[in-house]
Amino acid sequence: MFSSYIIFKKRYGLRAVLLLTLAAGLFLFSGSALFSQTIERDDEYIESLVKKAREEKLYTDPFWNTILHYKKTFSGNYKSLVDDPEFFLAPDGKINPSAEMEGTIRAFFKEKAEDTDHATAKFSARYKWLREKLHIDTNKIPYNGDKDFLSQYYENVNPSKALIVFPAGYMNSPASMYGHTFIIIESDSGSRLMASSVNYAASTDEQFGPIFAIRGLFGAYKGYYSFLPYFTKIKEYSDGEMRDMWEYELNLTPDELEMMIRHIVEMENIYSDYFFIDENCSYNLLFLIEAARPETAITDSFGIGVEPINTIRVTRDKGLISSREYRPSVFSKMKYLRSLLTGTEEKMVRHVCRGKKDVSAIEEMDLSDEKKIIMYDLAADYIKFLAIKREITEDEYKSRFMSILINRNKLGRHDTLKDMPIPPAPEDSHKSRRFTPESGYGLKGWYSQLSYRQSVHHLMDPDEGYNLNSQIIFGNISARYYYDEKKPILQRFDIIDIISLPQSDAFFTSPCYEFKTGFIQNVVEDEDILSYWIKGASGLSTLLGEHVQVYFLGGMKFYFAPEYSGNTDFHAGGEAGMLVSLGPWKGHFFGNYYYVPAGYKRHIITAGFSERLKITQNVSLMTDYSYNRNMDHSWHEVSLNFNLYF
Amino acid sequence: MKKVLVAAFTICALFSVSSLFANNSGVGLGAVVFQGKKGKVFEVLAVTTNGTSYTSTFAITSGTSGYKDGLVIGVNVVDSYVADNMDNLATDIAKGDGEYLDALATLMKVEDKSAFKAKLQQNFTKIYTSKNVNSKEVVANIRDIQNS
Repeated sequence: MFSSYIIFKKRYGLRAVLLLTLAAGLFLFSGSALFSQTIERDDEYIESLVKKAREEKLYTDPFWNTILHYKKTFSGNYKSLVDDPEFFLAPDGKINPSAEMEGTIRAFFKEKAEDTDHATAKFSARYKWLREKLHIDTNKIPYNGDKDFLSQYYENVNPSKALIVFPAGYMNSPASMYGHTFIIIESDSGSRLMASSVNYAASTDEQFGPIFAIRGLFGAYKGYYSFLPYFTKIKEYSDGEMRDMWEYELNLTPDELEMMIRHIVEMENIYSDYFFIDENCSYNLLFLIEAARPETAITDSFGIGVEPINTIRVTRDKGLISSREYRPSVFSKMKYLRSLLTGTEEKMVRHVCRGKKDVSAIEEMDLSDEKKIIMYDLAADYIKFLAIKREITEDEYKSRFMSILINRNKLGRHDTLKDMPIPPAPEDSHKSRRFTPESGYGLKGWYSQLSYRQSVHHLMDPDEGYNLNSQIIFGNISARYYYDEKKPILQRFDIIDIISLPQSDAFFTSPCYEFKTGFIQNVVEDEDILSYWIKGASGLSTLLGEHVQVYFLGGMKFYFAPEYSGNTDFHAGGEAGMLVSLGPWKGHFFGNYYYVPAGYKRHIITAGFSERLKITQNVSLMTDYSYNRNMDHSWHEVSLNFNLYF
Repeated sequence: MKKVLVAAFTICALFSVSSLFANNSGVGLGAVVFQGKKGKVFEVLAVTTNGTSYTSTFAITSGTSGYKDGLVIGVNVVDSYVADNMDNLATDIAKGDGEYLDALATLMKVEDKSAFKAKLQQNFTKIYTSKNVNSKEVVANIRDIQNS
C-alpha cells in the first residue's frame, strides 16, 4: 500500500506523487457515499463521538498535539509543523486541532476506497488513541486498519527496542561536529545490523552546497522520514565518512514502542518544510520519541536552534536512555590497531597494501601469530581505504584484499579489538554556548571584555567529545571597553570561524584549513579599523608523539572598510604553531607573519602562546600572551579569561 | 516562530549540509553530498546505487541493492544482505567472528551459531573461490558448506 507511492515517487518525482495523492484524497472525500454500502453508516453514532470529543476537549490533550505536531504560536493559537495537506483530514487541520479531530473521527467511518489507505491504517496512532479515549465501537467502523499495521510490523517480527544513533564528527570536517541523529528499531529475532533506521532529511536534487544551505535556511525543501537497513547507515557513516557512532537505547515499554512505530507509519511519505536551524533532522525525530512517551514534552525543550548533540542530552536528561554503545569508525579501529604495532610493522602493512611488497612478506616476518593477525586486520581495513580513495585500482584492491584475507584466515580466531578503549561520549562534552568575561592589556591599553558564543567549540575549549585540535564557531560576539578611551567597542563578531587540523602521517594525508568571516578590528600600525573580513588558509599538520601536534598554514586575509584604498586591505602570509595537550592543560604556541603589499603596506608579526586549564567540563580558564608588530609599531598583549559553557 | 531568528547563522547551514542531508532521492547520500569535494581524505565512499541487482563482487563502491523505501523491521533477505556486505562479511568469515557473520547466522536461522561460524572460517577459500567471486556464488557456497 505504501509502496505504490514509492514507485510513483521514483518514476515521476515528488510533485507527481503529491498531485496524485491529492487527487486520490479528493476522490475519497467526494466519492465516499458511493462506497458506503457494506456497513450501514450510523451518522447518529458518529455525531455522538464528535460531540463527546468536543465536550471533553480531547483536542487539547498533549498527545494530540504531539502526533499532529501542533505547536503554540505567538498569538496563542496552534499550528502544525507538518506542511503536507495529505496529513490533515480537515481543510483547516493545520491550524485547527479541534476540526482536525472531528475530521479524523469522521474519516474512520468512511469506506475504504480502492488503491488508497484507509484512515485507520494511515493514521495508526490517531486510530488507536481515539479508539481508546472515546471507546469507539469498532464494529461500526468499515475498515480495520490495525490489521494492516499488525501484519506489516508485528506478524513476522517482534520489534523489541528503539535506539537513537549519533554519528559523531569526522576528521577533516569540523562542521560535521554538529553531527546527525536517527532512530533505529530492532527486532528481537534480528541483530543490530538488521535494524531499520528511521531518518529525517530534506529531499532535494540540489547539489550545489551554498544554494542548498540558503534554501534550507528558509524552509524551501520538504523534509521526509526515510527508512533503510541500519547496515547501510553504518556503511555510510562508519566505513565511508569514518565517523564514530554512538547508539543510545531508549527504555521504552512495548506499548510505548508500538505507539512510536504507529506514529512512524503515520509520518511515512508526509512532508514538513525543512529548516536547518530548528525544524531539522534531529528535531523531527523527537516527535517519534514524544509519541512514545508524551509526558516528556521533549519537543518543547529547545530554544533557538537544535543541535543534534543537544537532542541526545535532552533525551538523556528526560530519563529516556537506558544504555549507550560505542561503534568505532574504521578510522578509529585502524588508529587503535596501529597503536599495537611498531613502526616497522606499520610500514610493512602500508607496503603490502600499496603493492610494494607481496602479502606473503607479512607471513615471512619473525613475529607472533597475534602480531600478524593485527597486521592483517589493519591491512584489510587500510586497503579498503586506499580503494575508496582510488589510490589503487579496483583490480589491485580485489586481489590484495583476497590475499590478505586468505592469510588472515590461516591464523584462526583472535579478536584484535577487544581491548580497544572507548573515547569520552559526545553528550558529555562541554556545552555549546559560551560566556566569557575577559580582562587584559591590548593595543589601546588595559581593557575588559565580554563575549558570547552561540555554538559550538573553540580550539582551546576542552577537547573531550570533539575531534582533537579543531574548531567550529558560529555566532560569537565580543564587546571591549578600553579604560583609557572610555568607550565600548565591538571587538569582533564572528559569523563563522572554522579551524580544521587533521593529523597527517604515512597512512593518511589530509590538508588542514581555516575559514573565518565576520567583523573584526584590523590594526593598521597603531589604529584599530572595524572591518568585515574573510580569511582562508590551508596547510598540513602532524602529530609528534601522543600529546604534541604541529601545523603549518599559508593563508590570505581580506579586510573591507571605507578607510582602505579600494576599500580593501589584503594580507598574505603564513602561520606555524604547536598544540600540546596534557590532561586538563592545553597550550598553543604560535608564530604568524603576514605581508600587506598595497595600500597601507606593512609587515605584521604575531607570536605568542595561549594556555587553557579545564576546571570542570563546563568551566575553563585561559590566558594568552602575544608579541605584535605592525608597520613600525610594536606592543604586547596579555589577557586572562574565564569561560562558562551552558 | 523561531525562524525569524536565524539570520546570524546563515553560513551554518552551508557547512552542515552533509549532516542534515540525506537520501530521499534514492541516490546514495555520499554521491550527492560530496560531489566536487574529491581529494579530501576522509570524505569518502560515494555510495552508488546499483539498481535492483542482488549480485555484487568485492568492491567498496558497490551500494545497496535497492531497498524498498519504507519501514521494514528485520530485513530478511540473505541474498541482498550478502550482496550489500560482501567485503565486511568476507573479513568476518576470514576471522571466524564478527557482527556481519553473526547477522548472517541470524538471517539464515542457524541454531548453533558458533559451529556455523567455525565451519565457515575453516572453509573460507571454498566460499571465496576467487577475487572475482560474486555474491550469488558466495551464498550458494555458504549453503553447500552448511549442508555438508
